[in-house]
Amino acid sequence: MKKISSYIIFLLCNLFVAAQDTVVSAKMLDTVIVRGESIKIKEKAPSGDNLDSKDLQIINTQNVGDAAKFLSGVLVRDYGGLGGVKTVSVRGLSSNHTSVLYDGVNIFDNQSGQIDLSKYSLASASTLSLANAQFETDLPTATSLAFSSSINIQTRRPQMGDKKLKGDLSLGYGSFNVFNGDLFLASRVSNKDIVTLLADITNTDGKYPYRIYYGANQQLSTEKRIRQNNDLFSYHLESNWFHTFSANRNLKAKAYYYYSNRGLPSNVNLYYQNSKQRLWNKNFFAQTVYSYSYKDRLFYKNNLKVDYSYTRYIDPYYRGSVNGQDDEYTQKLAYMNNSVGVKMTDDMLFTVTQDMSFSNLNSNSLEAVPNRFSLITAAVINYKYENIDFTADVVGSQHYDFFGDTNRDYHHLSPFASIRYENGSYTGTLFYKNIFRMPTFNELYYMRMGNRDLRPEKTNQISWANVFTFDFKNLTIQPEIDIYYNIVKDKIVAIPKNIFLWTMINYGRADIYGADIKINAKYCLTPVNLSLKLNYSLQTSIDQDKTSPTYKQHLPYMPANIGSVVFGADYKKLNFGLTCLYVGERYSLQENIPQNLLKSYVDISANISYDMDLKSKYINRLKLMLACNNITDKQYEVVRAYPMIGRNFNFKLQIYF
Amino acid sequence: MKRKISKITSFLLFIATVFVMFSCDREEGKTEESSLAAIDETPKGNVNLISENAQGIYVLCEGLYGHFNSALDFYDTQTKTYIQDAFNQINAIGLGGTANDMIRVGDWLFIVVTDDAMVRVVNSKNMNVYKRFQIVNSQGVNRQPRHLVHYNGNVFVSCFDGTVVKINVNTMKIDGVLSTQGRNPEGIAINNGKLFVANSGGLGYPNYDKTVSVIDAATFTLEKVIEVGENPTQIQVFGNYVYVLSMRDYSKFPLLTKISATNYDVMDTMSIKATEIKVYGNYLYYFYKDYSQNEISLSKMNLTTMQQETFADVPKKMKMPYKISITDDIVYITDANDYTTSGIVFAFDLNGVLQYQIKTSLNPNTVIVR
Repeated sequence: MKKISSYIIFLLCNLFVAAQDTVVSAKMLDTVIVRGESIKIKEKAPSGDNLDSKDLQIINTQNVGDAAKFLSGVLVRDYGGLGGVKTVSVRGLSSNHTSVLYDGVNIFDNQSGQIDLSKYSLASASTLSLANAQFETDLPTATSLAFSSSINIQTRRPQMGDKKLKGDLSLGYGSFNVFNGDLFLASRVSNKDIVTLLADITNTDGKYPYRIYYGANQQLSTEKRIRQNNDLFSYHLESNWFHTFSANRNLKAKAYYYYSNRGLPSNVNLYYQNSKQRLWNKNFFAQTVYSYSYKDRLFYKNNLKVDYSYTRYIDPYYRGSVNGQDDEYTQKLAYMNNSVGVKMTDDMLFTVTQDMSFSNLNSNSLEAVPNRFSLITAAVINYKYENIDFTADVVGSQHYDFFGDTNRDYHHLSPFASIRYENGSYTGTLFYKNIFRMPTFNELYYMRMGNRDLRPEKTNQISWANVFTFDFKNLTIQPEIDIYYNIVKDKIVAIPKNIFLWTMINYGRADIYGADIKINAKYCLTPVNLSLKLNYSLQTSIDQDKTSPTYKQHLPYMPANIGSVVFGADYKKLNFGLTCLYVGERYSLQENIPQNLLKSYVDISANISYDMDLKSKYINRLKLMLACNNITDKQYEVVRAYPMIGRNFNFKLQIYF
Repeated sequence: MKRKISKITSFLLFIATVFVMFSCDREEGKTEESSLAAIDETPKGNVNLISENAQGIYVLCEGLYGHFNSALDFYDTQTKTYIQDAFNQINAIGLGGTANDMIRVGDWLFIVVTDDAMVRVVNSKNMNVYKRFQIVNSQGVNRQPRHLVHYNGNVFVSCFDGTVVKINVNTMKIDGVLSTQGRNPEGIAINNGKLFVANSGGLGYPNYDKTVSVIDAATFTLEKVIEVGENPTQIQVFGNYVYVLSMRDYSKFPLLTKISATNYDVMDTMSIKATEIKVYGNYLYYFYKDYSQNEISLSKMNLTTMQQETFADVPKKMKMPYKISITDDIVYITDANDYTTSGIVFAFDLNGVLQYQIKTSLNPNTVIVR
């Protein structure tokens, strides 16, 4: 901690020194940076979705997990409240199948394989994008190619203009004592260096009211209660350094630290509530991205990352030992990616990308330390012929696990192919992807539950995306219809040996098919700007295992219908935002019976904000925002017995300087 | 710096120890009056759902951990109608989470609900709710009640927090709490005026407990702690003996220990292919489910000759035999299926002839004849 604080002081000193530096050639630098950014995530994918900074402003949530609910085809498993874990399921596949990238570099968690998106603050994000299959970047990481889908959190980048120091500070306060603040600072340290600082802090006691229904007949026995042990304190500090060596060579470095301390409110019992479970997370990582291009023919990129994450979970009331349960997990990872792209001809790009990573997990609840060395190599070929764009790759995954005296290795070749046809108003993309996902450390080695004989879970995806673009004078409408079919084999699931002793097995097969329908529309006639984003997903996910007692029934927590609306209206300095989220009925267990049914819900939220230009020497402009979330005070659950927050308000003041 | 920290740590540890000692003291001593009395309950639903002359069985289903979907079903054996979670329809409230055991005491059914820290008292004729007890310690923390036994106007409840709670049926008040000096008590039985409680230590994997506590029911004092096989979970009574089934670590065959109820001597210990046992008449009825081999056997043992034999053929639909209840010459074996989908009750006569099988709510564990 001491190290980090001294680092921040060092960084702040740098910023102020830079602010006094007068010799800067702004224009030239900006061009250099733009050129230097030529190798970045284009947010392009065989199919997917994108929330830009304007959308994120309308959505106005604290964390990325809540914003991801508005991505097409995405279902967020949410345990409620700010501290509730939020993981994504894309097109009916478990969250282990989605890779999450932070500024284009993978976030790893070999322990659970699931990235908790509630840990990432939305204030630091500028765009959030989803790619089914994979992002079509020029130089992708091999790891991101080895997943069924990817989500990238792009953090804010400085738009320096001719300023040396720029930034903003925002302070918010909301219902049930939610306080949050965030700071963004960017400084041009020299004409080749920009340094940014992102910081945010959240604190809440999480004591929101909910209604409990004791019986099947909801009118007869109900009571209002307050959610207990649901507090959260978290902060995040991040610093980025953008260095430009020359027009074709640049470096981005990032240091990131996250801390959280939260109460885990546990599921809602009918007659008893007294949880003292707590969770602490500490995560530090540093990453660099170095990119180089030679005469627009040869491209090279290198990513380096070290990651340290610490988790502690306590349950003082666990009756297994005198002092309850106290588990600590420390996960360490070192990661390197090298990728080389060669433009064979003007129409053909050949890329080889390789990821190497080493990680291990130390814990007092494991019998030994699991170590994993992974080598993922991919070769990608991209060929353009008139309106047709053809991409194919093959990903070779090799994983070597060492646990105590045993070692095990896993090998798999995953092919991917996509073909795209594009003419100004229509884009059609067809893709096929085969993926296997590694069992996680928990699934393999966790005391009692772990099964060391687990095989990887395999998925096959076929998808066809159709995007139409209609441009009118002031209006752009972009409807999109995607259909897909996913098959999951050897699913890794937990099954009980007896009620005390669960274990992980490979089991059966699931078929998931559906359609994602999207409409994006923008209307622009100064001073009025309107934007509309409609998403609707229709999905059927079926248990296809003939020996299963729920053969041909719908899988749990897979609604047949999900819909969302993100609407923004700007009039001069006044902005209005409205969001709706609809999730249809689904079952909380495998069996499709009324007892397991979870009701559908609609969550409607709105906000209004006003921009004030101050044009003073220090403060550029001010922004005031007032929001009301879950306007109808709808009581609902995403996960059974985890009630979500009802109507709540928040107020935010943002100062730009 | 390091030294300073260790000093602070030891000081904190000291404070914590003092606090723990103090709180233990409080726990053994007096508890607040209000938490000892039962809470009155009124049925709000279809209170006459079960007709006056109906004949049938109550099936207690514990549901799945974390889902709070315990249910009390009723099967009318005359009209052959099965009412899933009749309890909820009659009372318009849910039974709670993990309803683990049920006994009949006079006109009442006592139901223990582990995850809701509760013993519930229900009318045994019409399933109308009557009262509920909160089984919590002086800090308001769930004792995790597990099993019940009735003796001489008192109901004794074994609790995972290492205690037995005594409920006076006449006054409907909690009369006392006693430590068993063991971990995670499960099975509880009464013989010769003594309570025998199996301290399983079942949550302490891989370090299980292996003791049985003997408590004098009248004075409610601990008399002896007897060592048996690892992870004892069930206790049955036959003549002047009690039989204790120890599950060990679930990978070896369980052990059956015979203990004298008069001088508490361990008479005999044998390995047995049993995951669940129940004494009825001269027989010990039991079944075995091998977790890795998927093998099931339904057996019985003559307790005077110790002769083991097959009790019944395994019905085709039986997947995960879970518990046994025996009353009125019918052996009910419940089937948990895969613990996450509807269960089944198989009813056999004493000769092992299957009488009927019926689909139930999730994870059925106890059957009581109305």
